[in-house]
Amino acid sequence: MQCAVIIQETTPKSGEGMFPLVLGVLAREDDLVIRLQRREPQALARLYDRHGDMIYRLMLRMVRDSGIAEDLVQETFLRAWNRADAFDAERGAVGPWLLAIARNRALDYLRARGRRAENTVEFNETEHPALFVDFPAEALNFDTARQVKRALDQLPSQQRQAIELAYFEGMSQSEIAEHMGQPLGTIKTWMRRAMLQMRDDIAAGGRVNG
Amino acid sequence: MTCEELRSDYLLYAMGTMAEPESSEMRAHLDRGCPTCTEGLRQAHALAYSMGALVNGPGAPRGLRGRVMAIAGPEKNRRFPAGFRWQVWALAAACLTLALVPAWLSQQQSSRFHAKEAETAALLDRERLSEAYLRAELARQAGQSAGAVPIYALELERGADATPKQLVIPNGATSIVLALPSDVVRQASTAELRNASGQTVWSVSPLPVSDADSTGLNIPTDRLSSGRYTVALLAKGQAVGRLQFEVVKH
Repeated sequence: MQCAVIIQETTPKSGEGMFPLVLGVLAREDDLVIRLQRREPQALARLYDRHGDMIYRLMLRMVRDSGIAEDLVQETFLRAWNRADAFDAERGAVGPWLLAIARNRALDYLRARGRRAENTVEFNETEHPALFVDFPAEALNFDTARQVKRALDQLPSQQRQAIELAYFEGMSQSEIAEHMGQPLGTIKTWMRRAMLQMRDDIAAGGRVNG
Repeated sequence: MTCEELRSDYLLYAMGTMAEPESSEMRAHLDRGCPTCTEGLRQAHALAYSMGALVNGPGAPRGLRGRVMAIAGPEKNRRFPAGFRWQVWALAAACLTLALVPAWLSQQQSSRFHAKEAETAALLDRERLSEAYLRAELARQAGQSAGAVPIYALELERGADATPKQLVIPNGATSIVLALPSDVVRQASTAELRNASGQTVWSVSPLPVSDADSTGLNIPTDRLSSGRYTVALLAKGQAVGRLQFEVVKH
């Protein structure tokens, strides 16, 4: 497998930065993707060994049923296996793409089980690999992980809850408002504030670490 | 909307939970090729990814790797726990609407019924960790049936006191498929699907012949209603194996 080390730091321009992250890429997965596209079983094995635990934990967190979580993990890798041809390794990283597929599968499941409204947003576009450039799982071994976790931990509890309901439950802002018994405008305000605070916290962490 | 106005909504959009009309406005803005928001959204995706990847919890069960690897089809020298010996996914992907894959029934036909039952029981006991799957997604990827709808796996645990797990069949599903080890199918002449009352609601004879490791038995869902079922493989009127499951039809 082709390996390379790429460390990239995105430095925000003044007033423009969103999430200035220190991105670490330990191993380019181009070769892995090519092998997946060639339908090599060992490539699937490598993909699972690298990302399986992460995907499973997320599935379990979202559906809270180990059996269903296993099923969704299998669905995720099946989808990746069958969609590998459409994946451009030059434009995206496999890990985030895989995780987005997994999350979509979990949200589909939650929707089917009635734990999520039918009119929530579809997520197909989030599976587009171009949106995941340079954000591999390995990045989380570095400062990024700590910064994100710290930023989440530092959010006011209600803001954090709103973010988690959106991410893990797939709730729309309207659903979150209903769930939390708050006006929609309040939820929008909380979530925007949360975004901004996380951006600032991560930026501060990046400067400290940089 | 301006980039400044959209900035705080990048993560919401990345998570797919942004409300309308803001979501459409964001999409239209991105469609115009805004480099600032494209980069911002890309980073928001990274943050969303981080949130997912940072989840704490147990690692995947050991057996899950084998299930995932089954997607890629037969692999030489692959070892499954407890004699887990089916290699069925390629078959299911090729031809099935919904695939239910039992991973049991492996013994040679005996001339004596009671001996066979004992052998079967022993086999099932050894393979109680084996699993069966309903693979709608796999079938959907095969894309041959308009009836294909997402459905999730069925895992069957066997043993004397095991309770069959539910096989959920949603509206639109046209069939399920049992993918059985071909060496067992070759020994049998008939397959019967029996309901909880013991009535045979579907049968096929002779059984299909396949050179593959697995042979698929396609059962129309219109033969199924909610309740418990048993599929029996019969040779000269005697069961060489059975698979129990509970159907829930939506």
